[in-house]
Amino acid sequence: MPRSTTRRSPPATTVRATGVAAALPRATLVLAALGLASAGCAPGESGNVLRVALWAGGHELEIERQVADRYEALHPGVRIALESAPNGYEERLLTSIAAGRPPDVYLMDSPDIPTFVERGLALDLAPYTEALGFRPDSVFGQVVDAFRRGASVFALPKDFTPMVLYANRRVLAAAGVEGLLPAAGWTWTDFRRAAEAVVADTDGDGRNDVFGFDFPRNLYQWVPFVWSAGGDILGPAGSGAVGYLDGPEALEAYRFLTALAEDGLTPGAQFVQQGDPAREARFAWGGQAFLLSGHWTLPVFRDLVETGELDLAIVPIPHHPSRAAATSVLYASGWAVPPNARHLRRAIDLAGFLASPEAQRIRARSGLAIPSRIDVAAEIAAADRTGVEDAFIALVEGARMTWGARVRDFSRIEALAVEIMDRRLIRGEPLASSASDVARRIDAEFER
Amino acid sequence: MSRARQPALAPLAAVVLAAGLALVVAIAAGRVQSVRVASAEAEARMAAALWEAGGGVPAVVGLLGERATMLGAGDGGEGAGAYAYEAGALEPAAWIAVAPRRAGGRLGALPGAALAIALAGAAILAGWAAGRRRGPARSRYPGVIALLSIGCVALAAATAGRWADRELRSLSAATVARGAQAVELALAGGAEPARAARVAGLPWAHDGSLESSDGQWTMPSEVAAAIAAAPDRGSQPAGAPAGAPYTVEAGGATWHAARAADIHLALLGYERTASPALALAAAGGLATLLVVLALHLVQLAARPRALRRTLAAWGLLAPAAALILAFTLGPLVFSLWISLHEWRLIDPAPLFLGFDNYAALLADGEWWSAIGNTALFTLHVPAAMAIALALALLTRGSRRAMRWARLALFLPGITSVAAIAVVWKWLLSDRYGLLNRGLERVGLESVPWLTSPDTALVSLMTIGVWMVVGYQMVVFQAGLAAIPRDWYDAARIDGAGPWQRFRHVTLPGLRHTLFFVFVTSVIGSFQVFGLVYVMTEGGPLGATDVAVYHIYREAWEFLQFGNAAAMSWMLFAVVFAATWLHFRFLDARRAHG
Repeated sequence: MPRSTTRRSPPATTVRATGVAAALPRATLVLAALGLASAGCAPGESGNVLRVALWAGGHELEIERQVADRYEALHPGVRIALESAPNGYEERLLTSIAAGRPPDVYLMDSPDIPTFVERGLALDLAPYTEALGFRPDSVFGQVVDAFRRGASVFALPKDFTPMVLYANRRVLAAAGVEGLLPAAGWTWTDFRRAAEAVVADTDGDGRNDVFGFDFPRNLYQWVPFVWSAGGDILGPAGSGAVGYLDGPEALEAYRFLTALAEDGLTPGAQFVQQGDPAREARFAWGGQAFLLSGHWTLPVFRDLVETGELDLAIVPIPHHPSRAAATSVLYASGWAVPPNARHLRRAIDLAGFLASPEAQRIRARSGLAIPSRIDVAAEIAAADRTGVEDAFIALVEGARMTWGARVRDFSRIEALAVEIMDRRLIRGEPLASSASDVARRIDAEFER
Repeated sequence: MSRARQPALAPLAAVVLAAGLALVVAIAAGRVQSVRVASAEAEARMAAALWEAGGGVPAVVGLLGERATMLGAGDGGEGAGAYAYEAGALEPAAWIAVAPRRAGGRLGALPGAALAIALAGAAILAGWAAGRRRGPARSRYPGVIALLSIGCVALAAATAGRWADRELRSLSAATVARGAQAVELALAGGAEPARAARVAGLPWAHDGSLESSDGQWTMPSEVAAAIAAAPDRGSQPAGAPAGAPYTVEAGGATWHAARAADIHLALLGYERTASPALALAAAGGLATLLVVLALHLVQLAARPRALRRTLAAWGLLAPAAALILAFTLGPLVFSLWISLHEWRLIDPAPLFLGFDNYAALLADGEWWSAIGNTALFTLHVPAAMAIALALALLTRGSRRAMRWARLALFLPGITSVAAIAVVWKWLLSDRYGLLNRGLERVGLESVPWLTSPDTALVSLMTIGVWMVVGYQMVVFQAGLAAIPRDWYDAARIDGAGPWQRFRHVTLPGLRHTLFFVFVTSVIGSFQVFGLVYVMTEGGPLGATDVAVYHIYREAWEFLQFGNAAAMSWMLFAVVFAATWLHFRFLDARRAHG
């Protein structure tokens, strides 16, 4: 049967062959056109295009475009291509570097500093600081130190934020505990008293709908509580967790935080890194008194604050009753240049501009973070009528940079550390045993 | 017409063989040429660093002699070279152009040997082709000729590889020597040791923390391991010589170096010796394939119609085959290669580990827990199939209501997984989810759908059923339509009731469809990722940590690409074994009637 079919097919085959033959020149033309188009469109291949990798999105990206436009205006003939990846930024950046086509300038996040610096993926910019007009003492000390190794500077700081507590004054006032809000510092006892006071069932359905707090499940959220109890998660050299992550001070912090969830002061725990997706909305409409976050959340609330719909206060993270003050955690980002950037010196110049006071002033319009330069941050705070910028800056003193800025592969530690309180809240396991187990596993990772 | 074409086709094999061999030679020569240029650029960068360290023009001349040409900053920028800057300046002072250095061996060694092989192979083939015209094809031993041709290709590839490797090592050694000379010139010029070390041009040499007063280096272990992997490029291993105060411990080996710069230069040399063996092997393989195809064509030349059809078929297959090669087979081979290495994507060189990654996985409890979760998740497949089959039976027919029902059931199968996951995440939210609010309305306790290890995986499995059931239903309806109506009529006449008709007519008639749906669904469920990524992130407490999500985190969160690749191949083995068992099971059923 197949054979007879084949025998019947020659005319058709001939037609197809003719068709293929006729199509070949067309296909060649199309391929050639595509090749020419791709060659013409390839960004960065031109000598005057500088590629910048960053994770801005939406309004923030528009503002970064304004910064880039300003640089283009100052340097006629140079074009800036912003290659933004709000999601999967690290994947994209690493892939471009591995493929031998790194951007000319890239944004380095504080937890990525060891990964990039220790593997030689960031140029030492110290020799050029004078030519760039960059003075380390013009920047907040903890921020520039995060990007330093000895005398070397591996990125020019862009901006940063401490973790703070947002407080909804109306919720606290309704519970009659607004007076507990601190001017400078406060203890866990005060914080818990305020959180307990606000919990309420306002619609009478038998379920509480106003809460004190939301459970800070991730390490980047709860590490300031450990510090504020006088403990730490790693040893001073950043190379051992046993005795620190499971130390008595850390255990006290875990007990304090898990008790908030177990006693119903939080609306249940979400066991995912992205946290409770409703937390900001709940805080804004008065369903939650305190919100732990960084400066990046401020733009979400700014309109509500300016219209008077939200009475917002920025307060420090509470500290253990035996301690005098809290220690918050800082997260920063900076502009780095890969050593094999295609246009190295121009890239250095661009990084210098992106970190300059002029660029920081333009960028401050997004309100997502505190400018790294002390003078620009002060200008922004002075122009702010709500007073929250001043409050943020006041909390920078005494805050520490994240361990991630020093310890390589910190993401593995973060992934393991969340288990400590998860195991308590899910299985009821004693905190001491879960902390001890996780600390041991982290040390095993260090060994590996 | 066929007789007229045959002579033109006959030498084709010889031409193809010659072209394949030329490709091999060109790749080897091209690799050597690119390294020559790269070495010249490395030397130019060293010279520029010397200039910047304060050496100026005399230092550049002392390092590169007549091979360097100094141009104004505005006149250069093309070819092998580098801009020279004054210390800390952003505007260049000059362009140092460097003529690429000839390699240590004679360039003629490669063409001499490889081209002789190429010509011999082509001559043999041409002789066969000419002889073939004089006598019957079968009497000319085409198989032997083909083997001889393949042998020629392999021999030429091996010869070219050996030549290229020797040339590269020679170039590398020369670059290292030039680097050492540059460092010495910098030190002699009064540069600080750290500054002099930077002349070697290695990025990590810029890290001040690598300098250590006690001589114990704290360089990244991958870098040190890369040096260790190229012993002839590194400093002397073992022993503690008096004149080698620097010690590097990494990868189970101890290395000693007389000067800090030696270690930098060792890596520099290592980077330059990346052998073209892989490219040559690929080119050799391609040339062999082409020769075999050409010989096949020559055989077909006696039957012009068959030849035309074959050519047309190849032409039509070629685009798809090229895509599969580039985007499926290529990455597969690459991932296999990665799985034998420790590699973090941005390391200077992957460290060969053999099967260590696989051995470590066998003892990795978290990995096997992820495999176990995946296997559990797969249990939703039989449930989905049962529901899909029931729906297929219920929604048969062409009535409008049935058509709308089929459309509604099929929609989840064509909706984005991310969108589905986000919607379901809100529906299943402990506090705000529609499901829990509904349960509370009717006086029941709310359920921690996604926040309890006991329920999270079951919740995902349920959503999985909802997602696939529409697609499976459509496939089943196609299968049902293929069952002859006569069978049902015969069964009715024999007095069979609805259940008996379903049991003895429908199910046997759907046997192949059931098998197809089962195998494809099991494979699909082993690859579940989107739901977990968006909804649970593998939690709580690893209860929904499935294999593909585990692999994703290992690669992109922890940058352990070697481990992740090994996991991927293990997962492949598991899926393959499961599918093979299904086939065996089906064969056994067939054998038993």
